[in-house]
Order: sequence, then C-alpha cells, then structure tokens
Amino acid sequence: MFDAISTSGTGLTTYRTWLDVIANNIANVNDVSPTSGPAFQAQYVQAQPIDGGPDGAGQGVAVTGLPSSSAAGVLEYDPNNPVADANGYVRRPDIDMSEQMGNLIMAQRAFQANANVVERSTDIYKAAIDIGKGI
Amino acid sequence: MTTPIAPIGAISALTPTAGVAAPTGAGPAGGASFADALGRGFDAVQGAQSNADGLAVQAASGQLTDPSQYTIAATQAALMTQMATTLESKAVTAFNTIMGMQA
Amino acid sequence: MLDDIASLSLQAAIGGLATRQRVTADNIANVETPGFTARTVEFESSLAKALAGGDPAQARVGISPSDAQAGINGNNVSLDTEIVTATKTGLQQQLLTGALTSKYGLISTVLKG
Repeated sequence: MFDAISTSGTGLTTYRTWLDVIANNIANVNDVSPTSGPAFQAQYVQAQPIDGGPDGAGQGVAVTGLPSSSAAGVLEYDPNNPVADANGYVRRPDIDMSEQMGNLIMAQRAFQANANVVERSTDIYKAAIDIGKGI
Repeated sequence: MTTPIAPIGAISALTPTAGVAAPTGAGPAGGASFADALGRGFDAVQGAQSNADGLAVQAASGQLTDPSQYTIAATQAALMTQMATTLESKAVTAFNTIMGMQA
Repeated sequence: MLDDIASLSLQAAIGGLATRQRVTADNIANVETPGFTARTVEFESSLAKALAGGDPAQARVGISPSDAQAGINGNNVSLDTEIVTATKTGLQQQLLTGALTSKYGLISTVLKG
C-alpha cells in the first residue's frame, strides 16, 4: 500500500547519501598526503534501480557501492611542506571543485523532487481514502 | 389472518426489497410474492458487504495495493445497505397500509 | 457482528499502527542522540499468519531494533526512512479507522431502519 511514498523514500535516502559523499569530498579537497601513501580519494555514488513492484512499476533506487577515485591524486611541487618527499613533491586529491558543486546542485534538486513526490502522493492517497466519506 | 412479514434476520442477513414498488396482491396470495420480493437482491447486498470486508482485511494486513479499491467497495456496500433499509421500511409501510384497507 | 474477521483484523492493525507511530516519533526525536539505536515495529506478518489460522485476534505487535548502519556517534536513525514511515503510517491509520467507522455505520444504518 502507498508504494509511491516508499519509492520516493528510496530516492530521498540515495540523494542524501550522495549529499554526504559530496560534502566529504569537498571537506577534504585540500588534504595533503606524502607521496609514500595514497592521496585522499574522492568517492562516487553508484546507484541501481530496484525492479518489480506489485503492479510492475519498479520500486525505486538503491545505492550499490561507493567507488573511490584514483589513489595517485595530483603531484604538486611544494618543498616547504612538512610532508614533502625528497624531491619536494606532495600528493593532493584529484577533485574537481566545479564537478563537485555541479553534483551538489543535482543532488539537491533530485532530493527536492523526491520530497515533492512524497507530498503529492500523500494528497492523492488522502483523496482515495476520503472516497465515500460521510455516506 | 395477516401473513407474517418475513422476519428480519441478523444484521448481515439484510433483505432488500428490490421489486416491491407494485404489491401484486393485498391478500394472502400477495404474501408469497411479497416474500419473494423481499428476498430478491439479498445476495447483492450480502455480496457487496463481504467484498468490502475482504478488502478491509487485505488493507489491514498491508496486502492491498490500491487503497481506493477498498474505499470504493465500502461506499458501494454502504449505499446498497441504505437503499435496502429504505426500501424495506417503505415496503413494510405500504404493506401495512394495504392490510389496513381490508375489513 | 462486532467480532467478525474484518473487524478483528482492523482492530489488530489499528493497534499495531498506533505502536508504529509512537516508535517512529521516538526515533525522530532521537535523531541526534549519540549511541541511539532506531527501532522498528512489525505486526503485518503476525496478522497475516493469524488470519491464515482463522483468528486475527492472535496477531502480536513486535518492536525490534533496526539493523541500519550507525553513523559516527553511534546513532543509526535514518531521517528519511522515519519520515516515509510516519507518512505511510498516518495514511494507513486514516484508511483503517475509516474502514472500521464505515463498518459500524452499516450496522447503525440498519438499526435506524
């Protein structure tokens, strides 16, 4: 019953996860690591649709993984940095801020759209429940 | 002298009077067709009520996909019950009026 | 007439939904409490089993801890899941209390003649 709300709920969860991931990526955009180890690896959200509802409509989306980007990062010449190696290089994360900001806007819009569906579905279901009220 | 009106049974055994607009006979001979008329349509109201009940059980156990299925069935059952009750009381009134016309 | 299968099922479900609403409100209130474990309510499967056995009054409401993953502070309440649950529970309560009301309404209609 009321499957549209559950389906939108999976969307809310997925986009909130994406939001968390983007926030983490942006928070760590300036992490400096020594060349001996990995750079901070940005995460991506991998999502798959959930198939097969009672009327064949499909049941939403699920996060199936959080793959990471490359561990090599970007090599930067910064000899004054305390973690710089013998040649003066450090690793920085390979994160494109404009890409992250674009994703942030997409995640926000998608979350809002799903919340909107929850609201409208609630109104529709209320109308269905009110059929015959007062007869 | 007066043929007894068919007794009203348990609530679920409601008997609508679907075709009683013209009582065919005022005397005992009319009593047989009156009882028939009372019995006609009984299954329809019973069916509507038990259909609504079945959907209510599905809704309670979370198996109903579409809530409007239940509310539509419940509305139909309510309307048919109201109609049956109204027809029955009008039929009883008409019967008593006609009976009162006899000596 | 007031204890037929449909009425008993509706009463059992309405009770289960009331519990679910309280537990969901408790989860939402504790969305920031460190170490808090969200709880879920289950009665549909118990009711379905009781119905298969012919006596819906045997249905039981069960509260169990959720196995969602916890965040940094040990709190595992997922706000969107709780809001979806609260919305659905509210709609189901409206539907089922309306169903019980209309059942009583049928009896009242007949009694009034």
